[in-house]
Amino acid sequence: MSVQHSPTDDTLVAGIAAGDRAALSALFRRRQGDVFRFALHLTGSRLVAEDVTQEVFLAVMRDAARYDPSRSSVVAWLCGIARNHARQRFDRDRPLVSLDDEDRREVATDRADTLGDLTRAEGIEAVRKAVVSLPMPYREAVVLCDLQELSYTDAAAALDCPTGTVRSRLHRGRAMLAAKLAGITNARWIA
Amino acid sequence: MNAHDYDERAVTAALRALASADRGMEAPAELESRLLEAFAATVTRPAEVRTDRRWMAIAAAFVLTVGSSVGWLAWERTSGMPARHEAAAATDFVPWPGATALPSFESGELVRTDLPVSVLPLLGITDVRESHDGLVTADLLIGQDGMVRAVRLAPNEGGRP
Repeated sequence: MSVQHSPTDDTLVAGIAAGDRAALSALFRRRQGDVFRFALHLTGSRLVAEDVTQEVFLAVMRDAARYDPSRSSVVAWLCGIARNHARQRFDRDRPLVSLDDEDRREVATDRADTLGDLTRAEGIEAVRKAVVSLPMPYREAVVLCDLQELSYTDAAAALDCPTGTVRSRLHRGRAMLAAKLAGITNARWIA
Repeated sequence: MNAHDYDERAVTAALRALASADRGMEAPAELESRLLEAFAATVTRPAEVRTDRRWMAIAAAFVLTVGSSVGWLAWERTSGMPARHEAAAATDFVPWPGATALPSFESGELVRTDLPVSVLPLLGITDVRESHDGLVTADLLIGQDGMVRAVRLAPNEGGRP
């Protein structure tokens, strides 16, 4: 019996650098969700998250040969690229700090089949809104470490800062989040 | 609120709920096809080899590599000049990771490209030449399905210093 191993992210990036179309397809399918959700949590907008995801993989196509596995994981590298593009959009479109109505309605109604679901969906949207309203440095740390579940090392690589900075921003960001969520997080939907 | 006295568990639970709710969210499916089209348009394939010529090309490259190495060594022995590090760095083709699980190679292309030195150990190439910019020139053997089958460091003729 032969055991087939999926190529690692590093190998796929090397393949993309070499012009391997299948490697790009494989990496996209494996990691686009991570990039999309990171951008969504950072910007609060699906449309912007789609644009950022596209920009990230265009950058991968262009710069795959520059990826250095000794400096960061591929996921951290992708999140770092996404972060730069999201920041550019954030600077350009300040109103992004709050979810636009269309995005919020879309997200909220996806799982709102019953009254309980609706309550839960509203609670989740409140959390989403609270995250998006955090100042960017704290938001980035919370999203990367708590929502994307990256290690401190990977988050530091994505944010281009020391791990100690990630830890302090995360702690401060969570405290700010707690203040914004006061009165919501004790609700039953959390259980 | 003091940064040290907030309800840690409540915040963790709220963030977990959000992460869980969004777990299935993805970019639109059509984005992949758009990217692949763009990729196909940007990738250059300077050394295309037709099916019936591919092994001749590989064999010719091998003969040239061996021949030039033998010639160089003979010249070096008579001239007393030290061998260049780069001249010894070209490799034979080695299988691309995962290629053994792919369908048999029927046709394809030989593509010359630049790879980061740092990925060579992942490809099974440990005899890495020195490179001032972190890149080395390599030849990729790409199959009929677009998947890479084998790789080698390119012989150092007219390529990267």
